[in-house]
Amino acid sequence: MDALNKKSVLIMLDDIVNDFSSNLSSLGVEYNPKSDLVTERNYISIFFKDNGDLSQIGLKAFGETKPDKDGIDFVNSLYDKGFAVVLCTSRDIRLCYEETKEWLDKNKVKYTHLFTATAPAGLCIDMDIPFMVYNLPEKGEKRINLVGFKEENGKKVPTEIGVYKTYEETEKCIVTASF
Amino acid sequence: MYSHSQLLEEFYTTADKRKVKIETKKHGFSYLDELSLLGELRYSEWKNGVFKYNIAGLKAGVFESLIEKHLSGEINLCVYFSPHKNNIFCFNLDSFTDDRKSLVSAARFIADTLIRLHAEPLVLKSGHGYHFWCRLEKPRDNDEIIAFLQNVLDVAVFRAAADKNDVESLQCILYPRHNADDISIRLFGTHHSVSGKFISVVTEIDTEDTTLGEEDSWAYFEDYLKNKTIPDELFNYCCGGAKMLAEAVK
Repeated sequence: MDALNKKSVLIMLDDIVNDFSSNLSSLGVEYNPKSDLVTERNYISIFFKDNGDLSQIGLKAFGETKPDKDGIDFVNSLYDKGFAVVLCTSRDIRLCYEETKEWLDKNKVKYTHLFTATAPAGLCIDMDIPFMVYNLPEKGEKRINLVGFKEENGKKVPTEIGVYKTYEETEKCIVTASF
Repeated sequence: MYSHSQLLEEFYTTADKRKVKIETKKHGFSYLDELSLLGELRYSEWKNGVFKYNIAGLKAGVFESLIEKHLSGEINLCVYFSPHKNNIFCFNLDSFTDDRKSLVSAARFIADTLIRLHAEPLVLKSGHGYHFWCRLEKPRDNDEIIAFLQNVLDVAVFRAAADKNDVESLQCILYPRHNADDISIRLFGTHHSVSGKFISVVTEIDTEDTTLGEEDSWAYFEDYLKNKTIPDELFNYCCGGAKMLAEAVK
């Protein structure tokens, strides 16, 4: 792994920089944050199709989410420390790129690259990114999952490093392991 | 005789040269940096080891250099239609299910409807589905083209449904598009992103399609460009005919 990859991290942006799950609930989308990401994307598409307006996905599902200051500070802190920050989402970004970009710019989120993937662990393995971070909120509380990757039978597989309640703990773990 | 790059540049004259999507297995931070030199790398997609990179604001000459990479097989180049006028249009037909019968049936009805309207399509395989391309002598407003496409699709869907096919299992994306979404389409001359196999011309749509080999597909493409481009006046007839047929099935 070269120096560039060692200091890189993939962060699932929804429910980290924004209140994605809460926003979807308020719209009436039957959504479980623990769904796999293909199901998540389908929930959203089905809801907007059934409720008449697929073109509103970008605005309603993503554009109108509220920023999460702690999550944005976490992303920006890693960026400022020299990490290549890959922001990843399962949203079909072809339908909502402008809303996504506008939201990230407006809320001053710093990142190196923006990716869409419904299997982000596979992206991390291909790109040799050592860390993946995602939040699965439960009853309003953060559950920040930090995932690493290890070799098993000649293949890289994801492995849980820890589940944290604060971004400070998560960042500390990433930074310590990278230097 | 034209070179392959000349044929592509001629066929896709009205494609938006400022924006592309590149499909490739190449990846890595260094590669992303290289792509960023071509224009604005807006976002990337990853699925099953295949990467797609969306680049806008292409610098002068980049589009043409990407055509060469497309022809060499290094990338599959995907283009966007012009937002105002085009001289090409396309139906991108696929299925959400394994119901091959319904897909083949709908594909045949799309092709047949176009042929009846004197708009013989160039048919390409696309995964399990099909692309139906037509080319016009002169660029026309997107509103006109989209109305024509929708009318043809309405007729084809009606016919497929009447023939007891599951049309709900099908998806057909029309190009050009009204929607402000970011959906591109692969150029002719594509190689399958996983197998590397050339995406051929289909001469007969069936459960097992009849396709041409790579060299014959290029010859067919050249012949299509030279001899089956739809004259401007004839497209007026196509539009009128499609409208009448669509009204008849509503």
